[in-house]
Amino acid sequence: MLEPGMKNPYFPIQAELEQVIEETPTIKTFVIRPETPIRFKAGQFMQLTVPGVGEAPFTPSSSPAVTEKMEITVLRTGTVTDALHTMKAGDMLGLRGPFGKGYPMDKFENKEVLVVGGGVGLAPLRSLIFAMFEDMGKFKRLSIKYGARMPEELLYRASHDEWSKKPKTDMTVTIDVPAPGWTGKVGLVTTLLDDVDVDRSNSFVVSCGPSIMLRFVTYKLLEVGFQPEQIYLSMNRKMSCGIGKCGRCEVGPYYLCKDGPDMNYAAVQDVPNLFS
Amino acid sequence: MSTYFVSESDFVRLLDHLQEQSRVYVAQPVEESDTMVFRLREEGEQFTYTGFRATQSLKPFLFAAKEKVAGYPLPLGSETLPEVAPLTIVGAAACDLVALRTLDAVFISEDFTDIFYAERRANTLIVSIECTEPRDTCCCTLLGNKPYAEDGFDLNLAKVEGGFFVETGSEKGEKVVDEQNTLFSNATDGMLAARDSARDAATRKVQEINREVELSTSRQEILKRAPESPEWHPHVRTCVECAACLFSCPTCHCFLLHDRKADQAFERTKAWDVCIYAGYSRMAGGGTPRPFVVERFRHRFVHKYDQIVDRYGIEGCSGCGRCIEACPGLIDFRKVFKALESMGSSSKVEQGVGA
Repeated sequence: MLEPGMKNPYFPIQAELEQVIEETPTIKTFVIRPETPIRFKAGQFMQLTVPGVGEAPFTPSSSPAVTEKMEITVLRTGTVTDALHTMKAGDMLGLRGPFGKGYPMDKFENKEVLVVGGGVGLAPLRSLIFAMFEDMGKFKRLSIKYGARMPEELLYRASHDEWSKKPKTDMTVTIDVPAPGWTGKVGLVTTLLDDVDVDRSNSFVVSCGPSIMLRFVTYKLLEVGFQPEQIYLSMNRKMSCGIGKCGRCEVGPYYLCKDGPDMNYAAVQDVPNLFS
Repeated sequence: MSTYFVSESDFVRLLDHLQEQSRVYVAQPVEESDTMVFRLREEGEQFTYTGFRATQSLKPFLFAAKEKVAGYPLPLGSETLPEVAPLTIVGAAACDLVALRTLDAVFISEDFTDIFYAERRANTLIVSIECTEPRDTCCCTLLGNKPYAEDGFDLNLAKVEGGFFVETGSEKGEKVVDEQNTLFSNATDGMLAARDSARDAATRKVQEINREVELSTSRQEILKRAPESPEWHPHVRTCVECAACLFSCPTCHCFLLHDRKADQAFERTKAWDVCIYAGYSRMAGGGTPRPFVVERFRHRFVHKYDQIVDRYGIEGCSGCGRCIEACPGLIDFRKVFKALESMGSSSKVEQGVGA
């Protein structure tokens, strides 16, 4: 939505980059203070302006309970993220949003929630995890399955233990290939789903990661007995306007920026090239 | 709403008057050519009634091909807002007005309104004409529309003996007539009859032009039935991805927000973008849902005749035929649909086959 009183949906409000946290060799978290607080729901996304370079969509990785500042965790991968990774505390950014629907938190009540993340895909999921921790009484269980390529690329590694110890919560982590000193699980994140003990009849799954991972996570979930209606995927598409006008983030009859960015798999499963 | 008569010379006076209050664009024939284009009217210029749509649609007047929509630095607390001057457009065709329904549905909505479009729309006076001389590319009737406008205009002109039969279609149009009432006289029943018989004749002409490409199935149904048919391939072979079809389209509305450095910070431009370009939906990292031209070509159809229908309840096509006229590869969407309809299978495109 727009800030109250604003008429121009393409105009970003100013925001100060307050702190930069190095998470992994390729991922940083940017702590941003907008000139006016921004209320968002877990899973909604922001259009972040790096002045003079461009704008790109990111879902905040921080708790929606905090509105005066937000954290955005970004993998260095393109023009805007390259520039962003060179920025320092005190630099100016721009923000538009939040956009999209966010995770269907109401549906998750009294359910087991299985969160499946890959690489930097844990970033938007952390906002969901924090939102659930805020009100854990409402949910039956939170099970987190997370995979990264190598130990150094594990995101929020220092928090994993703390999350695992929260009530009704468990977390399992894997890396793609063996690495010196790593004693944990090895294999793609899909291997964590083979014997997953989440109640098929009373649960939802939320997944975020690269397209290829989403594809195989989805196939694995269906194989182990989940229904398409139970699966929510953070779809990947190029975005520009954020408000359902510019045309490019369409997935079948939906615009990810308005109807997503998390889509129920049952609604989009027949779309050609869904996982591209 | 109301009908009047204005003589040819008084209509020129009316244009002179409108020119005092706004920029006036007129659709006029191009010398040594059979085309007609919108151009800025010169003072005192005569008006030629052509009976055919202009090469450009109304889109560029209301949805700029490129414009600044945001930028820093600004005085704190202020945002970039459009600067819009009053505009009069004379010579819009019925298909142009139909196309505005799509643009209005996209850009003016309850949750987010594009103020750049909305401000221009509100400050534009539209004078439409009736098509009496349809061309081979005209297909308004195929799309369920007519070669004459029944709404969507401020004033509508029909050529009658010695002048124009004028119909007002809005309060704005009524006001123009009120302000210059000495130029207008009452229309007669004879004039109305002449206009209506010209309308019938024009409608029959367009129907005749499209006799062989009429469909018995809806376009949406055809696309839903065979979304990935190999029948697409022959039509794509001559597509050179120039996007003339999309840029000339009166309803195509995709755009890209593009930032660049300006002053100490940035300037954001909103510019037309088109789905036939490979970069249109390519993400950081290189992934794209439509790597092959056949997929992007098909997307244009699916968006216009299926997705827009689901979203707004209208087709994203007015039947103006500009895409047919503009295509250097002689691609004609009417024939594409006709071929898809007669094929009727739903086999899948072979993986990895690009055109």
